Amino acid sequence: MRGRPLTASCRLPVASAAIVAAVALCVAVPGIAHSLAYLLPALLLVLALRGRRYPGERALLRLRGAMRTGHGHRREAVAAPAARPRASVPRGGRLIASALAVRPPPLPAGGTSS
Amino acid sequence: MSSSEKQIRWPLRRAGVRRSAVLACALLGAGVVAPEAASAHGVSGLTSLPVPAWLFAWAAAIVLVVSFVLLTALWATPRLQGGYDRRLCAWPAALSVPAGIVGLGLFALVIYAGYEGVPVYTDNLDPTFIFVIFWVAVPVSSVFLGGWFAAFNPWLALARAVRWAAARTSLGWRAPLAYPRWLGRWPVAVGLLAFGWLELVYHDHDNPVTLASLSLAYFALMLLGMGLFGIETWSERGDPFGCYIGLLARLAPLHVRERALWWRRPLSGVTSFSELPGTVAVVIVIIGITTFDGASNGVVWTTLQPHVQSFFSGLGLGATPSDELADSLGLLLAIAFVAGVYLLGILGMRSVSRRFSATQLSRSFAHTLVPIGFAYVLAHYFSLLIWQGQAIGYLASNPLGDGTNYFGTAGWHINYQVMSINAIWYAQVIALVVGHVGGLALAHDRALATYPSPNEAVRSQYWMLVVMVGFTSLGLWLLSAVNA
Repeated sequence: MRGRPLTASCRLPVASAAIVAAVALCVAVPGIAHSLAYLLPALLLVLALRGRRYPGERALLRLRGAMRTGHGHRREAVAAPAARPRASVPRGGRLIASALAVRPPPLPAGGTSS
Repeated sequence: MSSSEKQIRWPLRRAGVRRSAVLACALLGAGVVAPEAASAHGVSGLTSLPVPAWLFAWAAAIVLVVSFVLLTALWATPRLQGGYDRRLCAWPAALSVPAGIVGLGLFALVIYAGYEGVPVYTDNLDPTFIFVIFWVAVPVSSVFLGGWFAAFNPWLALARAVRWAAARTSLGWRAPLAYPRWLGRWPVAVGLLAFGWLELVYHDHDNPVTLASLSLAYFALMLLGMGLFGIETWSERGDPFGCYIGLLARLAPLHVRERALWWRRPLSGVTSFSELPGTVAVVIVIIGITTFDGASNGVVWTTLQPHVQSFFSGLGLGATPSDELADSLGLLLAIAFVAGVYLLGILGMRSVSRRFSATQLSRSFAHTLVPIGFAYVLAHYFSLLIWQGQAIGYLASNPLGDGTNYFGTAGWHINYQVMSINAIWYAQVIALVVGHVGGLALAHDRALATYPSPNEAVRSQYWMLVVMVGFTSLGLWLLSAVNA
């Protein structure tokens, strides 16, 4: 892989020679062609990677990111129970006023009555 | 978007995609309509399979791709790089004494049977004990039970006994030589290659006298090595069988150290296999031997071999040396092919990132081939283990083949109906797939620990996926050739 890259004019003859050699080998040695049926998945993958294509990489990284985000949300939910809104119960004079008033005073912002 | 993610581009290469699609269709067609797909290389022993045997290779490839996706999505941090051992219970060191005595006794029996038994390989203990029990059953069982063989290893037991005795007398003993670092595990690779040659190439390989003599020579060589370089050093680097079995035992979750039984994550033991010179060669030789064993029965080699043999005959050699030379060449070619597949994966990984040299990567990822080696051994020798392994029942009672009946089992026979050919085929396929998924998991874990960028790790593992898919397909092709 470190050698000098083939020029465009060289690629076609080299590729043709390689194909001819492969076909000759398949014809000369029975069984080689049949082995292609077994080795096809690996060969296809090599061809794709050799062309610097990584099939499904984008989807894979997206899935990876989604899984990590999902894990992060769950972890946050467990790690931060204190952020839960706390009930605010009226006490003292406010409790009496609430009990007596026809229309009680408004609740503090973010609070809930029990 | 992080800076590392920005480095990745997904250009629209429509023309390239179209060319690839055409090429893929052509290859697909060539593979499916290959002229001898169903005739010369048919799987006659597997006629009742629901689909052609090559479709199993495709299904295995799909399983590996799905495993690759799941590993990438769900396995975000290294988990197998050691440090997860849990102590289960104490392990009495005294147990190694009776185990060593048993190992030495069995070794003595093998030597005695070789020299004094009948020279018929089916009736003498030695061929079955060495090629089935010692070469296959012991390594395979070690993957599940851990490194139990080290306790029974006869040359190790004798060396430790000598050291123990020397420590209690005035004869103090220390290894006189330091083991050369450059030698690494090359003695193991060479020793395993020699055994593979004996098993697959040498014509007189099942002669009990030959086997007994070679066993004695090996025993003496191991004692010499341990005497010169130290028991533990030589056992780890220079003992081919001890190292091979110990290497497979590292896949097991159970292991004994510091006089205790420990639990570790399955496969994690092999990640600490030190990266000495020759380590890559060891795993490649293990796979290469099995590869040639399968290929030598296939149509490709049976077609080529006579031509190679006639070439050597033309040089004036006799029939047997020509045949052995031709098969020796085949064995070396098989090992070279396996090395080539691994090298392809390593160079592919190197093309993803120039951060590491090819040598660094090949050593760092060598351990990922260990589950593949195990899968190849188990799958390839499964039928031998199931069928010929039964012979140990009658050979235990009649080890010399002279009609004795020590345990009353001399009349036992091999039951070939114990498993159907199809059941064996399915077991072989499962073994291959599981082994390669294990290799993929190890490679993924090592990539996460090696590459600083997760995206580089993912891309590098595309190449290891090629290696795993390639080895799985090759393994299934070889098995179908053997079963044909």
